[in-house]
Amino acid sequence: MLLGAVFGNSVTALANSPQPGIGAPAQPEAKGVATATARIVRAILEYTRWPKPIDPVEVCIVGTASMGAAIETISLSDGRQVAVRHLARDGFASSSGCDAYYLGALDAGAMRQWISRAHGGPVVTIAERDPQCRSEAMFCMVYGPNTVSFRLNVDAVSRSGVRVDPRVLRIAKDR
Amino acid sequence: MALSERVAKKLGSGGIAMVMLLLAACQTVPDNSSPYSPAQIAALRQYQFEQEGDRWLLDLDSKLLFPTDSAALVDGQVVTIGTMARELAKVGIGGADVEGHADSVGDAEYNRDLSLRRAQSVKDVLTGGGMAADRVAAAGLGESQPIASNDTEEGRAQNRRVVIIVSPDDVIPAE
Repeated sequence: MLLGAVFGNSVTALANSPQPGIGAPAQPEAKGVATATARIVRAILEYTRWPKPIDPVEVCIVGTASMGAAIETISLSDGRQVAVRHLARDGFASSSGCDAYYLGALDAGAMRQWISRAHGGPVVTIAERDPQCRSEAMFCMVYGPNTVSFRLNVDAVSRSGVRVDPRVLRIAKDR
Repeated sequence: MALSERVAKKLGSGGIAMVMLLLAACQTVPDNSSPYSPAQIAALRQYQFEQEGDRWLLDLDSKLLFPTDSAALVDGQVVTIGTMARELAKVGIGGADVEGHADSVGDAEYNRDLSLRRAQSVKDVLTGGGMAADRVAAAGLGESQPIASNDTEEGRAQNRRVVIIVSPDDVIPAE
């Protein structure tokens, strides 16, 4: 499959090791996981329709995100740029202008606050550590032993101010 | 194209449900923690309707709320869910996790059963729309996962919901 080939090459290109997070020590395959994570985030950004065209797409990484190290390397296929900003878990005051929240290690209360901030507004929410996808984030990363996937919460999309092209779900098939 | 025309154009394909849900959405009191005013949200959504032509996207029409003590879907929701099942099938998604929820009024055990019946109602329509019954899992989470305050009617209305979660069939290798 084409995906496998592209993917295998890009692993070695990744420079930075992900920072170990709370309760999630870095794994030997951490680079691969970070690259796969970035690949999924890229697809999410490409298939999200914001109410107005945005460039660059500003991704705010909130809290410690041990799988998010390669998000900075994303380039979108339509040429739009991706800008990454790191926010503290309580950095609500600095969140103006974020087009996406990539939510890392957060306690339940902080998670709830970030999600409810995004409700109704043009912000995509991606949860790194909610594989059951019950935090009302729109997208939830799912990490298996040697695989990375995600879940899409349709209800959360409906509460957001963005729209999502369901073709995002073909990420692993088409690319 | 004017919004009204576009809505009229969609009346042939489930647009009535869309209009009804739009009206319902206007009457819903938004989450107080959202930094966006109802007027801003309405403006954003109107703008979105003028984008993307007739391409089907996941959006606010995907929200599934229920009256008190009811697991019955109204006609508009049946149309919405059926459309969702068919459109997801187009991108190769033939299954989903369907999770029902309840507000906190009444007995917890009763609410668990009620939430399961809500999930089952949605599952029935998804399978009617072409999803395989053995790939749609319905679960009742009762009142355990509120997304809004149970102290107000507006909050309780948001908690009486069914959440549909979908995943790509394939995963991305991380090695």
